[in-house]
Amino acid sequence: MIEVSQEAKKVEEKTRRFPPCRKACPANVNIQGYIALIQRGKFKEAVDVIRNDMPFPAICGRVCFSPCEEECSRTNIDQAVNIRNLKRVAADIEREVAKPNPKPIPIKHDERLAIVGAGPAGLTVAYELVRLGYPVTVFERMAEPGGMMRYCIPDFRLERSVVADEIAYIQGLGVEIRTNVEFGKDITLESLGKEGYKAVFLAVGTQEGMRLGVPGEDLKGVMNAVDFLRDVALGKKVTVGDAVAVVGGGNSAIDSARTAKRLGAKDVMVLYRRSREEMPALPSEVADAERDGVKFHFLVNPKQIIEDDGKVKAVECLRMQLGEPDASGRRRPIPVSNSEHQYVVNCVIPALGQLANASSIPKAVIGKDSRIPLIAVDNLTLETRLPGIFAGGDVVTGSASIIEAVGAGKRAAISINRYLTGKDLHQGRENIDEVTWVKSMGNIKKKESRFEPFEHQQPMKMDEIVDYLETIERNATFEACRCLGCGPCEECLEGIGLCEPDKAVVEEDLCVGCNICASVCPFGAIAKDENNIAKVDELLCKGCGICATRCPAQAISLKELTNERLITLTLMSGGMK
Amino acid sequence: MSFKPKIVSVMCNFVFCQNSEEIASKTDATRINCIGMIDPVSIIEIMRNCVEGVMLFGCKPPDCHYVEGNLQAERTVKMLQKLLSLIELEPERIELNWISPMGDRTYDSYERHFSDKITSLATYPMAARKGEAKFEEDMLAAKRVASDFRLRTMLGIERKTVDYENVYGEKISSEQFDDLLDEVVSAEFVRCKIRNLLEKESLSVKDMSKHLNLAPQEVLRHIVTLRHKGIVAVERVEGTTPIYASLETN
Ligand SMILES: Cc1cc2nc3c(=O)[nH]c(=O)nc-3n(C[C@H](O)[C@H](O)[C@H](O)COP(=O)(O)OP(=O)(O)OC[C@H]3O[C@@H](n4cnc5c(N)ncnc54)[C@H](O)[C@@H]3O)c2cc1C
Ligand code: SF4
Ligand code: SF4
Repeated sequence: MIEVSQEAKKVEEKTRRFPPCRKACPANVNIQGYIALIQRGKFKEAVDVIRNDMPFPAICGRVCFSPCEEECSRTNIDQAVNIRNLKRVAADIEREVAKPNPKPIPIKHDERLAIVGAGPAGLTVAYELVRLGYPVTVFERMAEPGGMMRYCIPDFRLERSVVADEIAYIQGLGVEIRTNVEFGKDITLESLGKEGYKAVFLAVGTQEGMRLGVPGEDLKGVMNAVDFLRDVALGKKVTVGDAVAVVGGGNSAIDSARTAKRLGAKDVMVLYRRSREEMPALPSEVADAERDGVKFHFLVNPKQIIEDDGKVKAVECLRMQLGEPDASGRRRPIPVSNSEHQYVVNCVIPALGQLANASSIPKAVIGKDSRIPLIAVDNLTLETRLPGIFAGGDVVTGSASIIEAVGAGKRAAISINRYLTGKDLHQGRENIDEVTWVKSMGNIKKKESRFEPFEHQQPMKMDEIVDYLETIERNATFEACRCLGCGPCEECLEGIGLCEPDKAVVEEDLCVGCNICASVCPFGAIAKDENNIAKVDELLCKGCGICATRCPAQAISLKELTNERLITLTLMSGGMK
Repeated sequence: MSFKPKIVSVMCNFVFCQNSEEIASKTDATRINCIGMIDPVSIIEIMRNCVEGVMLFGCKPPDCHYVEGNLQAERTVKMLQKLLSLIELEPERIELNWISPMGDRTYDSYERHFSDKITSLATYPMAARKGEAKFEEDMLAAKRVASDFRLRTMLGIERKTVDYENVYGEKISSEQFDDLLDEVVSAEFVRCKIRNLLEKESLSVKDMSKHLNLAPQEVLRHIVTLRHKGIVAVERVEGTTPIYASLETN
C-alpha cells in the first residue's frame, strides 16, 4: 500500500493542481492515477490509490452520484470516461482475487478521538485519523455501522456484504466501533470530555423523514421512506399491500418504490409535484425504476389520505402547474383548483427528504435556522462554535451524498490533526487549482460509451467467475484507455513508470514565432509569448512531443527523448530478437 | 539472427498496455509517449542506416491520450511513404498499425507479418545499396525534405485546415490535402537534391540535369524558384551558360 496519509499531507502543504474530475470530486480522489493503473491491468494497485483517498472504493463504485463524470474532459470529444464503473470493477476484482487485507496501524499519538455516528462521514474521519496514528473510537446508535449505506440504500443497489467488508477494513486498521450507543442519551459531549477524548466529530446524519403535512398522515399504511427502508434493511416483516404510492422525486423516493415492488406490490406509483425534468433523482435511477415497472405521475401533490377503517384507502391529489423558478432554481409548482382526483392504494410512502433529529445534536452547536436543526460549522475547517468539536456530513449540509460526506470527513480529519498538534486550522487550505485544457474535437464522431455497467451478479461457479472477470477486465482496460490523463503528470503518481515524464523545451534562437506548436498541442501547454517566442508551461505539458514533430523550424525538442536519442535507441535495438 | 531483415519497431506507451511488460522483455521495440512524436527526420535517419523496415504502433483513432497524436503520426507516415517512393523504395517499408485495447492480435503476429512482407519486396535487401552514391544522395535529400520549413509548416497546419478551417474560412478535404502534400514533397525532393549538389560545387543547369537525370526545363523551373527564395544565385557566366552556386552556408 502506498504510504498512508502522504496524499493528505500534500493537499495540506502545497498547491495542488487537479484534473477536472478530481476537482469535481468532493473527496478529491486521484481518478487519473487509478485509471492509469487500470489501463495497465493493475487493478489491485488501482484500488490502493483509491483507498489512499477514501475508504469506500466498492461502495462508491456502485452508488456514487459521480460528479466527476460531469466534468470529465472527455466530454469535449464524446462522452465522459465511465469513472464510477471503473472504480467498481477495480474494487470487485480486488474483492474476488486479492482480498483486501488491512494491517493495524501503530498508534503514534496519545490523544483519543471520539466520533459520533458511523455513517460515511464519521467512518472517513476515523479512517483518516487512524492512519495518522491516533486512537479512534466511533459511537453508533444502531446495531451495525454504516449509516444510510447500511440501513437506507437498498440491498439490490448496494449489497450489505460490500458495506460490511469496507467497514471491516477500517476496523482492521485499528478503529474501534461501539454500536448501540446513543449520543444524547448514553453519551454526551461532557461525558466524552470526562472520559478523556480530546476532540469530537459529530456525524449523526439526517435520520428523520420529513412529514407530508396532510390529513391522514398517521393512518396505518403510511410509512416514511427512511423508516420503511430501514425496517426492510433490519429484516422486519413489512407489508405494503397491492398498490403503493410513493410521494417525492428524489433518490429515496425511487429506492422506496423499487423496494416496494420487490416486496410484492403490483402497482407502485411515484407521485411528484413537478415534472420529470425537475426530479432530483438521477435519470439512470429513474430509468431503472421504470424498468422495474414503477409508474410515474408528474405534477400531482397529495391533498389528503383517505381512510377506510383506520387504514389507507386512497390518496387524494391536486394537479399542479409550474410557475416561476424558486430559490432552488426549479420552477415552483402551483396547485390547480378543483383538480382533486384519487389513487386507490394500500400504502403511502412519503419520501420528501430527511431532517436531523434535534435531540441528538447539542444545543450549543445548532445553526441559526432552528426550524431545520443542522449543525453550524466553519465551511473550511468544519469546526463548530465549540473548540475541538467538529461536525460534517448530512447533519451539516442536509441530506446530500456519500461522497460529500467522505469529503467532509477528509477535511475534518485535517483540521482535527491540526487542532491536536496545535497548528492553525485555516492556514494554507483550499488551494486547489484546476489546470487542464483539452480542445474540443468537433471533428471526431460522437461515440457511445463503450463500457456498460453490469447487473449485480448472482453467485457464480469458479470458471464462470474467471470468464466474467476476464471480460470485465478487458472492457475496463478499454474504457480506462479513454481517459486522456488530462491532469498534470504528478497525478499518475511519480514512480509508477507508466510513461516518461518528459517536457518540451524550445530553443529560443530557432523559434520563428509561427505558433504552429500552440495549434497542435492538445493541452494548450505551449504558445508564443510577448516576444514571439514559444514558451512551454511545464505543468500542462505532457511530453507528447507533437509540437516538436510539427515545429517547422525544428526549434522544439523533448528534454529526455530528443530525436537523436530516439534514433540511437531505435538503431541500438537493431531489429527484433 | 542474421537472415532476418533488420527491422525496428516504435510504439506508444499506451498500445498493448496490458501485456506491455511481456513485450518489453521479448522485443527491442522502442517505447515513446506518443506515436505522434515521431519526427519524419528521425525515421529517414533510421532508414539511412539500412534498416529495412520501420513498424510504428499507435492507438486506434479516435482514441489517443494526446487527443490526436495518432492522426499526426498518420500524416507523417503518408508523407514519408511518398518520400520513399521518390527514392525508389516501397512505401510498405514504413507501416503504421493502429492498436485497440480490445484488439486480439498479438505483437508477434504483427512482427511476423511485417518481416515476411519486407523480405518479399523487390528492393530487398536495401542494405545491398549501402555505399552506392545515388542511394546516399537520395537519402540525404529525403532527410533535407523532412526538415524543410515549408513542408513542415504544411504538416503543422494540416489538422487545422482539414478538420476545422483556416483563417479564411476555407476547409479542404483530406484527399485534396494529400494531393497538395504529394506535390510539395515531389518538388521539394528535387530542390533538395539541387541544393545538396550545389553545396558541393557550382554547376550549370545542363550539368545538374545530367547528374539528376532530369529534363533541363524541370531543373530550370526549380532553379528559378530557388533563386527567387535567395537560396541559389548565378555565380558567373561561362560563355552564355550561367553557373549557379549555393548561397546556403553549411
Ligand atoms: C434512500 C436513500 C438513498 C440514497 N442513495 C444514495 C446514493 O445512491 N448515493 C449517494 O451518494 N448517496 C445516497 N444517499 C445519501 C447518503 O446515504 C447520505 O448522504 C450519507 O449517508 C450521509 O452520510 P452521514 O455520515 O452524514 O450520515 P448517515 O449516513 O446518516 O450516518 C449517520 C450515522 O449516525 C448514527 N446516529 C444518528 N444519531 C445518532 C446518535 N444520537 N447517537 C449515535 N449515533 C447516531 C446513525 O445511526 C448513522 O449510522 C441516499 C440516502 C437515502 C436516504
Ligand atoms: S480524461 Fe481522465 S483525467 Fe481527464 S477528466 Fe476524464 S477521467 Fe479525469
Ligand atoms: S510536448 Fe508539446 S505538444 Fe505535447 S503537451 Fe508538451 S508542449 Fe504540448
